[in-house]
Amino acid sequence: MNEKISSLFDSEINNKEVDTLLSKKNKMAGVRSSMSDYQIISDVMKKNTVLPKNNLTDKIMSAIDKEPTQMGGLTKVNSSNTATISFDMWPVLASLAVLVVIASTAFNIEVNSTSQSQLLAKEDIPQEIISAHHAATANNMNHFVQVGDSAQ
Amino acid sequence: MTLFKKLFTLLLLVLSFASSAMDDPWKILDNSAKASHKLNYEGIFHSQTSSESNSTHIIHANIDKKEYCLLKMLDGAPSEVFSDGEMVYVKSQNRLIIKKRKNQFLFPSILPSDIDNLKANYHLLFGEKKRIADRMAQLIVLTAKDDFRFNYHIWIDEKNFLPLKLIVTNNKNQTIEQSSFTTIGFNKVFNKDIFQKNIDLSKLYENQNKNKFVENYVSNKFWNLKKLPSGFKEVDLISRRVNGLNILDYQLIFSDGLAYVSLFIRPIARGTEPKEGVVTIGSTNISARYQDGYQIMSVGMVPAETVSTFSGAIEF
Amino acid sequence: MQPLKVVSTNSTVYNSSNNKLDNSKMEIKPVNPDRALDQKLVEKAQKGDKQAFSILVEKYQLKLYRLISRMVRDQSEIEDIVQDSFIKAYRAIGNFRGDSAFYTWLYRIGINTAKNHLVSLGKRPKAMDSNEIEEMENYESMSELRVSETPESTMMSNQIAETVNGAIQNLPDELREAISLREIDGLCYEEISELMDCPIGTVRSRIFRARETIAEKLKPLIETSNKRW
Repeated sequence: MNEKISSLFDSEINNKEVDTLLSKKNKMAGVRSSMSDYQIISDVMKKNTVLPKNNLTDKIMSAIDKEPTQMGGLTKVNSSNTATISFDMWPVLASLAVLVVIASTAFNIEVNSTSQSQLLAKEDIPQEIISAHHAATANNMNHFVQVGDSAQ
Repeated sequence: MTLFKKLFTLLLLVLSFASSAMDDPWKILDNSAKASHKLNYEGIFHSQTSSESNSTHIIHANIDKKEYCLLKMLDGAPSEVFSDGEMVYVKSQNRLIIKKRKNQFLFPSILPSDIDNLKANYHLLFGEKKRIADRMAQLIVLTAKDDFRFNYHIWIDEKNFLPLKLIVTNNKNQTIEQSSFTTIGFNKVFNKDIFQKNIDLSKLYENQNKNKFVENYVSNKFWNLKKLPSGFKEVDLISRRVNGLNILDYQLIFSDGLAYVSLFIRPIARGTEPKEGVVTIGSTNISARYQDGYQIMSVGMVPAETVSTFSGAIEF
Repeated sequence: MQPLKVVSTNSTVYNSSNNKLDNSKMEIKPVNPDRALDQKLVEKAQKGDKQAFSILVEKYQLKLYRLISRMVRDQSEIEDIVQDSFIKAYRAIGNFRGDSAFYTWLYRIGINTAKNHLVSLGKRPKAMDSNEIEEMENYESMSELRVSETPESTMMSNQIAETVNGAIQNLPDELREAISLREIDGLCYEEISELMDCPIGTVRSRIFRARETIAEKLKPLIETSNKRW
């Protein structure tokens, strides 16, 4: 196991060994800790400055654990954050699902949207973007004059 | 010569004319692009978008090999646009704003100087001849070869090749935008003074182009572009300061020669929710996507799929 | 930019801008092993394996920290930016297609996050030319740390360096040689096995044993430093 971590640190590990390492979920903290030690050794040997910093992995991974899980381009909400839904709500949910599908088609929403993004609405579009576009590209003078008006 | 021989000779002449025209049917667009810049003309054209319609008086002249154009809005608030070929001056409600515009394709100068890129992305069809502003015009229809652009119907003056009418239609054949001359006269001699009588160029006006910092910064493109829709090439890159802060947003402009898309890369303010999706405002589609602290927006009078592809093409 | 270090063996050789060098005597390996491993970890993260992403975090947090320290001096601000950058990278990992190396992609996110941070504080981010950006992305050339150091942290850094160097000196020759060829000369296992005339498995084992021996000596010091830093 530990020899594999050393090989992982050097990127001298094959795909099967990566799979084996990652399958041992309960040992991952040890993997990261060893990698952190190896990094310090590496820095000293390379005469790099050893950083007076905290190891951020735990903090970062704790924040990432609250993020929806990536599912090959789709995102899956963590089960701990998912509300339990009783069966009598399914007709309502089904209707909502249809609406979402219609909205997705109409607005061409990307399925891999980031979790914190909101659906674009007309009022979200800054006027200066439309103006800047027309100022540079319009072949209709109407647009161009309006751009001049709004440019100040 | 018998009547039959006369008819036969006439037929041969017609066929020979047709065949020379068919050698390169795209040549008519090349001639038309040149005509819109070289000819002297004065007229009134009517423009209509999905939300409004307006009439414009235009004087265009080529004086000492320099192109001058004066456009005066006849409806609504008085306003004028003057171009001397390099700069564009927009005078409206006692304000004058000077812009440097790389792509001055205001109607009727709608065609690019290089027609080759159009050949790759549009089919060219000859339509019926029709009288426009009391002149005979040949209809040329450019239909998109794919779903990334709209169709352009251009009526070209039969004698001097100037575009007299333009209709842009979507893939359902609905009109998106149109402009058409109602009156036009050619070969008048114009004096430079008439273009500048309302604009005193000796005065210092607001100039939107002075920004050395911006120019320096633009050389540091920190993004990559994945595959774009066929035929669209970057034609300009503009950057602006965001609300007086020392941070910039970027506007990349792409064109296939007729269709234009602006791709905006804007840093997102802390606490602002990023947006994603596509909406249509009038004849313009807008697509938004969020990536790595930047709100990416694509804008263009092109199908929704096109703006979505542009927004998705940016990676950091 | 650091001068080029050429390794005269049969591996792929890159200069500091990651361009392959022309050397007819060298057999060129088609895949950069570092990049291949990253791609494997990214693919697993894209399929929902957060542990795979945690390896990438462990692998690159220090390098990203160094990168950001060139733009921001305050340690806690740097840590926040590093954290934000990894979270942004995770959110966007579904869009990563491997057209560029993972670290290049991550570093771009890091630079943008740092710039946005500076702007939010009303500070003007430094405008960088393309050479500087390239240099920043080339993490191997970034040994220098620009974060503000305290006398205490400098002392701790020196103690760690002394401990590691002392432990290396006490290693058996074959372990010291193996880890030195790896860390100082930057050789891959195959190259080390040729130079030391032993199987790759032995190289793997020697490097691991060397690291574990040094880490054992280091542990009490790191535990203390974690409490103090």
